[in-house]
Amino acid sequence: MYRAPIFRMCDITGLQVDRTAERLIRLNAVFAALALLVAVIGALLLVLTRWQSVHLLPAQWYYRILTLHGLNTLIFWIVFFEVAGLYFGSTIVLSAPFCAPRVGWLALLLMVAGFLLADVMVLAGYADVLMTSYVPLQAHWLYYLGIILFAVGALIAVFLFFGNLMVARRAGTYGGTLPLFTYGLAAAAIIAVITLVSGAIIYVPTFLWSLGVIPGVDPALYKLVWWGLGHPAQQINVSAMVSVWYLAAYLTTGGVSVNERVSRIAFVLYILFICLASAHHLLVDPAVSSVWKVWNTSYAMYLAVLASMIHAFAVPAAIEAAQRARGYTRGLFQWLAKAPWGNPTFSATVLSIIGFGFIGGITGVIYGMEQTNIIVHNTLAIPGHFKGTVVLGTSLAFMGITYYLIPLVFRRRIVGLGLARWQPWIFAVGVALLAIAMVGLGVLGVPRRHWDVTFSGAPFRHSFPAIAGVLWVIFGLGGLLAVGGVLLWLGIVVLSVFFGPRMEGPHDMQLPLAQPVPLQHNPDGKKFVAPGTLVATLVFLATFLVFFWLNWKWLAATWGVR
Amino acid sequence: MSLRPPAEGWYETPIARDERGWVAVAMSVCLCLFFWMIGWHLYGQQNPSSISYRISPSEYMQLHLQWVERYRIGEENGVPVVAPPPGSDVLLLAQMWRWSPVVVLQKGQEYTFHLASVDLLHGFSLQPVNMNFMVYPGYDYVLRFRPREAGEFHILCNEFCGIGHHLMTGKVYVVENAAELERLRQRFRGSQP
Amino acid sequence: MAEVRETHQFPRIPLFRLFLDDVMLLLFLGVAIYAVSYLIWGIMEIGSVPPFPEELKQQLVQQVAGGS
Repeated sequence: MYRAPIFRMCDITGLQVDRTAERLIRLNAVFAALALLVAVIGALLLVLTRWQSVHLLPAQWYYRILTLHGLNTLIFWIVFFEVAGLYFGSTIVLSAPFCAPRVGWLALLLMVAGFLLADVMVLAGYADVLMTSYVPLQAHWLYYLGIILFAVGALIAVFLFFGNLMVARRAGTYGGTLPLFTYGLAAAAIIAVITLVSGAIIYVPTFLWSLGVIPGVDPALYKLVWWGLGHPAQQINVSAMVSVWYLAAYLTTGGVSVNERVSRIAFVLYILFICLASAHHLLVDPAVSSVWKVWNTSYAMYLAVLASMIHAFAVPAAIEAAQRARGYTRGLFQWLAKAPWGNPTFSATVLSIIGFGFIGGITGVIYGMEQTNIIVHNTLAIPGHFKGTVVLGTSLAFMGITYYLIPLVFRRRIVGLGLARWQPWIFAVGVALLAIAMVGLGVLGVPRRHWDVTFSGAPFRHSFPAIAGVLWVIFGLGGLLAVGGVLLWLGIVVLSVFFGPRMEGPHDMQLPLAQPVPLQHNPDGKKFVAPGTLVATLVFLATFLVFFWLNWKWLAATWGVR
Repeated sequence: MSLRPPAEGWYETPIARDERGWVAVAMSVCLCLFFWMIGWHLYGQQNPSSISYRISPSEYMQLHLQWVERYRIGEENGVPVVAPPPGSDVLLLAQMWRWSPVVVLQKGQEYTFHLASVDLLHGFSLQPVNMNFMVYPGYDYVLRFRPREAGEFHILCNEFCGIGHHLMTGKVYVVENAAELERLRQRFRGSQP
Repeated sequence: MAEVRETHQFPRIPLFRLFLDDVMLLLFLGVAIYAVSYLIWGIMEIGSVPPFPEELKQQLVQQVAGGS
């Protein structure tokens, strides 16, 4: 029976909001926050265990909580939030209806069931296999079932996104070309298809093996296909994060991409090539050749990295161009100094860009080169790298945009706005210290996923250089600060969403919606639209080259190997 | 507009000078990175090998034990110590939760290491040199190492392999020359069972 | 705006712009490139790992039998 969609007209943005879409967005966002809560409690326990001055958890629980933490951050928190974002970008942003509400509820049901089942199995001790669950390690079949249910639900949500786009196009609700935010989400959705289909290809046989239906799964095949799920899952995050950056720039400063064609081409490069770099995880593995490794790890001659470089310029340039049009043209950086730093979405976005670029991106590209991987694989430098990308980058960006989602989607005023202004800084500084300490420890050779780096009870006890002690302290303090930043965000979000005063109209917006600034006329492209951003990106490039030189120098000092 | 469809003429908008310049610089860096990896394969001293073989865990265990007996010079902390001739094969075995054997190498000589596991995935992490490779059950990863400094080194396991993961450490001695090797041999002669 | 013409005029939308706007085509290409370059090629390489050579086994065993 066809039920006509019910809309409300948003009195703040003028967009038509499908009520079912709104409900689904809210619920997915709530489960995202719940998963993050589970993950951050895990994070606290893990930081206090690896910091061996405390060494809180015993070995078995360390590996168990590590499994829980990885699952709930890299999969559950992020995918629930992204599904909310996909629905938002394909319905509300386009003033379009949700194409199949009942299917949307089914997707949510599957995702929630999978999330709960997997988490319960891990906590009950039936899946001490870490998020990667490398075969021949084997978990209980219910654990794999939980993952599969979640993945199927997420895949349905992704198809609903595409369905919504088709419905919106046919209904003609937005004109010919998708808004850039939705376009970036479409890139994320395409990568999500790659991710989840790879997941099905690997988890179904593994599930059957855990039931005893098939005799085994080849470990090399498992790792290859699993990372076809694992790494693209993070590339969904990259695409979604960049989309959120553009959105945040628009909401906080009214800035738009200085060249839509270039920004869209960058998203297309993500779609076509970014998933090849799943090979990053197999660079020091047998069975696959160097030819395969070099081609795939390079994202096809670094074309997908070029895409990130484009966004690294285009997003700050959007802000700079808007600010310059407002009259902040003095010197190279007045536009930045006079930007709305008091707006937590703005500060979160800028910190996310800097953190993702300088910490996550630089380490990612260099550690992902075939040979330099030799000196970092499975050391603590690897989690240090991805704290820079997924935590400082994606998660902070998502946290930041939530300060607009609370009034616009949940229709509540933010409770604790004063604290909210500090939250991005507390979190960003904490994670930055944590990530840098981890990279430093990894450079010293400290392993990741390891309960005791004093090796007590082992036949040979290795000791790391004394400087490691200092780095562990920074690790501990940074980690605690980061945990504080997350708990602060969760507190603000929960209080606002459930107890915040309801929004009565545009006058209740605590964070302003900036006046959109149209692009300045630049007929032959002769003018410099963002000189400040250009300087910043060149500084970034210089930093990259220094880190490149350091790592290849360190590699050259090791033993010969061929 | 990120929330609205782009302004009319978005496709035809010329690229501003600074964006164009940045993209050109970025593109050159990207190409350089790609060719750098290829170049390092030709001129660099450190490259993962593309040599692997299939071998069942039991068969590898058998080969390993036979090889250990051939070149055994003693024992340390319950682990056999082996001194293979320079230029020959080293059959390292990873299992829950030990590395076997302890190996004595000569500085500057090349050895053909075989890395294989008999149960789960393990991580070969040579410290403090800091070289890291994966060790699989069912596969033999062949890597030719050439130590460039003398000393005592440890092999850590850095791939999670169960509750005893942190107990899994091994050792590598690198001696300066044949005379030093003799001295080490004498030292271990006392420990021969 | 547009003058009334006698013949039909198709809007001259550049091919590349149509490509950028075609989400389904991009989905197909994204999946296809990944599947071929990473997955299928990778699976083929894993599948063609040779067995441990007999000569090498003999060499190692022979050295044991040769004894010292």
